[in-house]
Amino acid sequence: MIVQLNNLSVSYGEILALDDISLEISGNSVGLLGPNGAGKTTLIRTLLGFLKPDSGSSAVLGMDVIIRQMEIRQMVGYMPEGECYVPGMTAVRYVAYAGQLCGMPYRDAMQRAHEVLQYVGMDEERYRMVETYSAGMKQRIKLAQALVHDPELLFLDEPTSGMDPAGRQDMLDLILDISTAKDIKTIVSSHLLPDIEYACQDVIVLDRGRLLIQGNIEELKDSSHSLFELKVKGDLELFTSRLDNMKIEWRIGNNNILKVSLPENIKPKFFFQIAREDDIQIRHLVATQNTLEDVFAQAVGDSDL
Amino acid sequence: MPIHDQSYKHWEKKFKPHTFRWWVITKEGLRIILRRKLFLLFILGPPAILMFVYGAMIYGINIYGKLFDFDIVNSNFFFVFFTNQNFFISLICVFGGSGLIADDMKNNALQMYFSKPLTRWDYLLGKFATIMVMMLFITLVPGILLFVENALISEGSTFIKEQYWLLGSIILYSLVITVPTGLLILALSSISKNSRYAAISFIAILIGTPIFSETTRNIFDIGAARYISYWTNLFAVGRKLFRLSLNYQWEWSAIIIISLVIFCFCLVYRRINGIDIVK
Repeated sequence: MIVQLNNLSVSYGEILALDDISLEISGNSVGLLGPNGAGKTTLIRTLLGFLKPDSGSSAVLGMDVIIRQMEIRQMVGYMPEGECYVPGMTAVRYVAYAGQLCGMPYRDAMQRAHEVLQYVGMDEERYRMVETYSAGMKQRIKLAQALVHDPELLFLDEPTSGMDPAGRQDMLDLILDISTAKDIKTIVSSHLLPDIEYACQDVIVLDRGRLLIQGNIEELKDSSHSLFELKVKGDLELFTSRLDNMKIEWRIGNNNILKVSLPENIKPKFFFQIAREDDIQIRHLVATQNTLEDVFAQAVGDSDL
Repeated sequence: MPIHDQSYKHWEKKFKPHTFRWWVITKEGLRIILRRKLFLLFILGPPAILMFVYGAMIYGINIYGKLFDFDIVNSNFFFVFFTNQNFFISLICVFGGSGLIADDMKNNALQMYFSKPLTRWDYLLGKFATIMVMMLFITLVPGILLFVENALISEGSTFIKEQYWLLGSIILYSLVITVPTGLLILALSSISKNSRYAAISFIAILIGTPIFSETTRNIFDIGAARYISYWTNLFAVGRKLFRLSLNYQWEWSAIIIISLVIFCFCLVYRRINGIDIVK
């Protein structure tokens, strides 16, 4: 188990950022998903010991966060959100410095900095001052400084933020490689569903400081409900009210396409029954698969109710 | 020929113990500051030259007698040397110390530091040692060298026997000057994300407090107003340490300096704790 939370609550003054969260994380690559302000960064910072919880306890790699903070930091890497560098250093120097701060001897730290920068895709640019880099390069350097001491667990906070599509794909590939081929466990915080779906096996969905769902992404997508896409002509409100009466979950997607989640005991011909009764035409009906977006929307939607 | 894999590999060696982790911060801080040639030339150069001038004076006084205004190399000689260095200490703080914490805060580097196995003490000590090393380089180091030079040259005289305590005064006064000044610039550096504001505030305190002190004393005729001046307090404690006459109480100055040290330390520590607040 890499992370364990027991009734953890964290607040900033009167604002409750994490609300009585209990969970266990044991996957190799876990995505922390949620809209802005959901509590993702707060959770990571609490696990690093930056924030003191109001109540509850947490453990990382089996060690209590409050009691064994230094040991945890020795074994984890953290790639923060936003800019984070020491001005006046070249990239290689900065990454080596990060290694030295973890206790690596200078020579080893420098050699390791070269290796890690090469791995994250920084070639000759590594000899430039960090403050001169583009946003994408700074993201790579942040990843390199988090990796330099060979952590067991890596916290990545919005790792693709500010990157162009090609750079974003590179970063996601790196994260995937780190968690699969390099055997380093990753916890990736993002509000971008495709990023989490691509780079993670498990997901934790947070919203307004509360835990909404947690589990394996494939299992969550393959739920007991069947998902259908519908396009109707006629009184849409009436149609959806009939769905509500039957307590069937639905939402409207792009181009006014209805996404309806049918329980197993209801067959698709039900759509035609209510359409006929209300004089509504069904112009489009196709069985589809749950995406992470559906899972997320469903979870956030449920929490709003 | 086998191709060397430069990709990611696991690191199997042992980490160094935590004890001197702060020294890594100090070394890197010094490296960044001392890489600036103008800093070396104009900030560290002149006090080094001044040291050689004083060294030559000691030589001249001992070898050629009373060539200079100084009758003898005594406690006043060393006190005047330190008083002259004060200006350069201020310059070191302005150009070398104002960005020590401010730049880290501006670039969110504190998150990087504290995600590593470092305590706030390590960070603070590392930064404090950075500025202290530079300041002691122009106070304690030349002070001791001049003392040793005089002791060696004035062989057969009574300097060592009678004025051995000067070595203690040199060490103590070096610390009296550098510790509060170093903590003051660190405190100011931690208040703002802009190192220029820290530098300006520092200059304002160094120049403003003597002006305010003198003005208050002259207008309202309040003798105690002299203690408002930063330099007056250092001067008073310095004269006491070098056993020189002083026409006002040095104890108040000592209390003010100690209070300043405590206040600055608490301020810096509190500001570093401030990274807990997520934007």
